[in-house]
Amino acid sequence: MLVLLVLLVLHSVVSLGGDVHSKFLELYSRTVELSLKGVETGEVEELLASTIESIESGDYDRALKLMSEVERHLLVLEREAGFIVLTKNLVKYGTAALLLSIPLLVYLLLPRLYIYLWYETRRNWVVTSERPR
Amino acid sequence: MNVLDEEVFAVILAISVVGSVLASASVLRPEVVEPFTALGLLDSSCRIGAYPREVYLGGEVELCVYVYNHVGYPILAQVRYKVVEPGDLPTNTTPSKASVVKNITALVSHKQEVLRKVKLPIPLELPQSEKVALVIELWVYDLKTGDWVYSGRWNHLYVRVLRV
Repeated sequence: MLVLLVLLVLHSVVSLGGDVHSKFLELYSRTVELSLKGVETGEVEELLASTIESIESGDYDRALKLMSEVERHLLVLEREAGFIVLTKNLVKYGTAALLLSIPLLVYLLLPRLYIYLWYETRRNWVVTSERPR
Repeated sequence: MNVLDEEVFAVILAISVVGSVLASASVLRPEVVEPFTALGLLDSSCRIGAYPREVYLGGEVELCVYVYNHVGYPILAQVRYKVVEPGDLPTNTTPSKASVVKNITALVSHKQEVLRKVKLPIPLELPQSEKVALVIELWVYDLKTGDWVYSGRWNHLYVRVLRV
C-alpha cells in the first residue's frame, strides 16, 4: 500500500515536471517569435529566467505561477505586436528617409539661407557714390 | 550676383551626401551582423585568476560560469559540466564523449550576460589519471529541431585529483 502511494506521488511529480517543461518551452518559443519581430520582451525574459531557476530547484508551484504571469504578458504583447512592429518600422524608415533627404535640403535651402543671411548682415549698409575729385 | 562660391557649395553638398548615406545605412542595417555566444569559466570570485589547482575526489569546487548572448534574440543556454581525461577534450565542432555531471540552464537575453556561481562536484568514479580536466560546454536550445545543440564553445580547467 505504502509502495503504491509512493509510486503515485512520484508519478504525479514526474508528470507535473514534464508539463512544466513543455509549457516553459512553448512560452519561450512565443517569446523568441515576438523578439524576432522586434517587440520588446525584456520583462517576459526576466520572468522566464526566474521560471528556469524555480524549475531547476524543483519549485514547480512557483514556476507555474510565474508562467501564468508570463502567459498574461505574452497575450498582451501578441495582441499589440502588429501595432508595435508597424510603429517601429515607421520610425526606422522615416528616420532613414529624413537622413537621405538631407542633401536635397542642403541643395535647395543652403543657397537661400546663405543669401538671406548675407543680406541681413548688410541691411544697414548705406550705398554712396563718390565723385572723383 | 553669385554670393555662394560654387566650389564651396559643391564641397558642402558632397559632405552632406556622404554623411546622410552613412547615417541612413547605420539606421537601416540589421542589429546583429555577426551573431555569437560566449562562454567563460571564472574563479570563485567570478574573476580570471585564482583557479584551484587541486581538487578532492568526491568533493566540490566552486567556480563561476559566464555566458554571453549576441544572437539577436533570447537564448535558452545550458552549460554542461563534465570531468574528462586530458585526451578527451571537446573540439569546436564536437562535444566531449564523457557523461554530463551537472547541467546549468539559464535564459540569456540578447546583449546580456549571465554570471553564476556554481559548485561543481568531483565524482568518485573518475579515470585513474592524476590530472583531469573540468570541462564546461555551451549547449543552446534549438527551436527548429526542439533539441539542445552544441554551440562549439567550451572551456576547461586542468586540476590534480587528490585521493584521500
